Amino acid sequence: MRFVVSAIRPLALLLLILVAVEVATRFDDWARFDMPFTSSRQSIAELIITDSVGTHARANSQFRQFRINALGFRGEEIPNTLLHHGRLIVVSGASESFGLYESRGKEWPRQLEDSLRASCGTDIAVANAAFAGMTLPTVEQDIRLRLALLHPALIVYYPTPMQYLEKELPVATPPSASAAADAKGVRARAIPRFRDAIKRLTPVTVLDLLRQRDINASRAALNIRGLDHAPTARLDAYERSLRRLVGAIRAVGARPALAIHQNRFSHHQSGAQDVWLRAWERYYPIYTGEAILEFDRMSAERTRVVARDSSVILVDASAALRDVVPPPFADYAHFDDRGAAILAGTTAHAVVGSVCAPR
Amino acid sequence: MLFNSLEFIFAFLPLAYIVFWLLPNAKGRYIWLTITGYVFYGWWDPRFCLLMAFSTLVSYLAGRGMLHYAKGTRERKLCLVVPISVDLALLGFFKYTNFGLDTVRAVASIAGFELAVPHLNIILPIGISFYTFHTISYIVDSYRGTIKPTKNLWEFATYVSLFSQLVAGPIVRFRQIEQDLEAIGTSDRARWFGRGVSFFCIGLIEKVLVADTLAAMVDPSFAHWRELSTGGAWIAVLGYTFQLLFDFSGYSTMAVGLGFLFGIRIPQNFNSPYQALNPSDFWERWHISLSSCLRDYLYIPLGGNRFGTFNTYRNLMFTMLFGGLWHGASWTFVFWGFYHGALLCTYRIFKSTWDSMPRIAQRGLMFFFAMTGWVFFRATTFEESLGILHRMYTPTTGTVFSDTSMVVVACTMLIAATWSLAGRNAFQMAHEWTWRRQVALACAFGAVLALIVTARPSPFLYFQF
Repeated sequence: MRFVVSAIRPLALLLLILVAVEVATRFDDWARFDMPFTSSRQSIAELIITDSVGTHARANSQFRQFRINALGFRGEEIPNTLLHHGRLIVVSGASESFGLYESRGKEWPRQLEDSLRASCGTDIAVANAAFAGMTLPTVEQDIRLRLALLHPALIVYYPTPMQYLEKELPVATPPSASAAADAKGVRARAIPRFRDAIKRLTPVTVLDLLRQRDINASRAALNIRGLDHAPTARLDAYERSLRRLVGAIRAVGARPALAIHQNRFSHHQSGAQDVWLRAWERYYPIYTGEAILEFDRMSAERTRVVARDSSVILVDASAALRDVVPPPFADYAHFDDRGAAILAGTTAHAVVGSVCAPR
Repeated sequence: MLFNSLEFIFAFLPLAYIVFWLLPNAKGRYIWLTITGYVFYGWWDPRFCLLMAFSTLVSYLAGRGMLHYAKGTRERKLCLVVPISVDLALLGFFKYTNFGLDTVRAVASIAGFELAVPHLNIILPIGISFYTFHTISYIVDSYRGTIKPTKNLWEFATYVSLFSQLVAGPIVRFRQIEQDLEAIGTSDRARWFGRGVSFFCIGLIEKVLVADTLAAMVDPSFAHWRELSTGGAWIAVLGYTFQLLFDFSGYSTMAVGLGFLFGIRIPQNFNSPYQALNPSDFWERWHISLSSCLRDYLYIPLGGNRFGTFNTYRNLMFTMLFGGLWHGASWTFVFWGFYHGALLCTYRIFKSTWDSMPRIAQRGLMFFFAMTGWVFFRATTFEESLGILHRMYTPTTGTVFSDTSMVVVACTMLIAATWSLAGRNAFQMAHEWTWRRQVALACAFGAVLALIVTARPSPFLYFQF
């Protein structure tokens, strides 16, 4: 009996520690982010839904600081008075606009709202309709089927042209009559914390080696070596999608604004750049880092062409981001608080004339 | 590397512990502890290790010199003066050069001159104030004959670089751990293990659950002090009063726990200072290792209270001014030292009146005086200090800032207040390895773990000194 007790005790203590970790995680998320104690969400990927109006963020959902309001936009609720009597601006795009690394309330659409309110008055609301991984065709569909109902005055699109370097060309996820139910049951919320911590503690050189191994494995599976040129056909596809998007925005009665995609490599050269480029390359292993950068450069040119041809407001923060030291990016292309502020300021400057003009 | 970091708890500490106890003799353990100390210290910046090694070598040679030369000889005096001068010169250069230059510039500006005094790009080596005091205390004690300097370089290197007390104290004097260092080859692992783990966990609770939770309110409040309301200013200052205690006391408690794990008994550094009845009592309870060093190496050599009332007050003021400056190269720290010197002098003048007050009034008043002093300690400028005090005592509209739920902050403040004002400190607790205690520590450790995996561990406040 004594033997059994002495064997069970350490296990019971270990179990107790694990339970305490989980309870404390939930308590901490509640205290810092106001996340419901009973929620079982483990990542932002669980905040997306495909329903009768296509793919978009799930209304009234939350994971840590990533909070989706009742209308399915990132951030706090938009008051009804602003929705019905104010000026609504929608920002759409992928993770760069949704905001992954910024402090709470510092993602660039939120900072854009602050800037525009300071310039044009408090009857302006900026809705952040972006979501990590949203492709250009999905955004276009979202505008037609969902955002049109809100009658926005202006829609700003921040593109992620690299989506056109995926193995398959991006297409919109078709609307689904039966939306997937919200995740139920008790799942450990502490697990992603430990996953993040392990990643954070892993030395950069080790992470870099692991990424290189992943890239090599992907290329081996496809039996290719990394392509070192941006494919023109993919650029053409990107441009076509962008033109369709501009048409869709105009069709819902809003003014379009297109932003130029930015990355940390455009203006800054340092030894650490290779590591960041490899992190980016891992998502598009068919192409080399140089090809990805070339594609980003050329797609920026195509965005300018579309904006010029279609008389669309162009938001280009390249000059403002140039020479900011250290680079205002949290990784290869996602902004930190400073980068988000610069993009928000540039956007506000570009759109203020049309937003502040008397209706 | 921080005690409250994952790499320390799950990699550095287990490795240091296992290898230490696998080593069969004292020499191996000295060398291993020295290596771990330098790895721990070099984690911030490996260049700092050279400085510590230099300081260690100079002090060791001075100790050997004192063994060699007879008392009263000129050579022996040189063995005292040279290493202390070297230590103080290093400390002065790294910590106070820019303070001196900035002061010269400011004074010249007040006098109407514009001096082009540069601001040097000097990085302050972490913990330099602490290990400088370690080496100075060793040299002075050797000179006085209080201790017999060690001939063993590795033993001395272990004393200086012992990672448990290296960067933020306690300022352990050689004589306090000499016995344990001498017996390091034969220490009993099992005897101190439970006690060590218990102390370490209590320290983690103090730091991660109490101090860091309060920091989420205190830091933004002091950063936006101009927007604080009267209530917000009081909450921020009260929060900092508890944050500082639990942060520093937590570090010291962890250091004591780590010492136990390696068979070294590190002395108590905090004895429930907010339960102090008067300023003199406060300084016998707060940062005991520093205040006793200041007493033994500065106040008493200056004359202490042996040469009349005026000289006693002068010595007190000088000692406390030096103590303030030791904490940081800023006039706000000097003022904080002056403030406590004035408190000590005033207490001596009105001792009988003060002591005749009810104990609860004495304790409340002392807490209030300590809290007011922390405003100067925390604020970076006099403008900020006075601005916060103005907000505390003049009804002002504004707000209160917090990066976490105010309900959590309020509960933590309540726990901190109860623990520090009426509870038992780690040295007063029982550390028997009972089942109930194991359950409590397991729950607390789990909670701490959940919080420290979230983000980069927050540094200890006393690291800046």
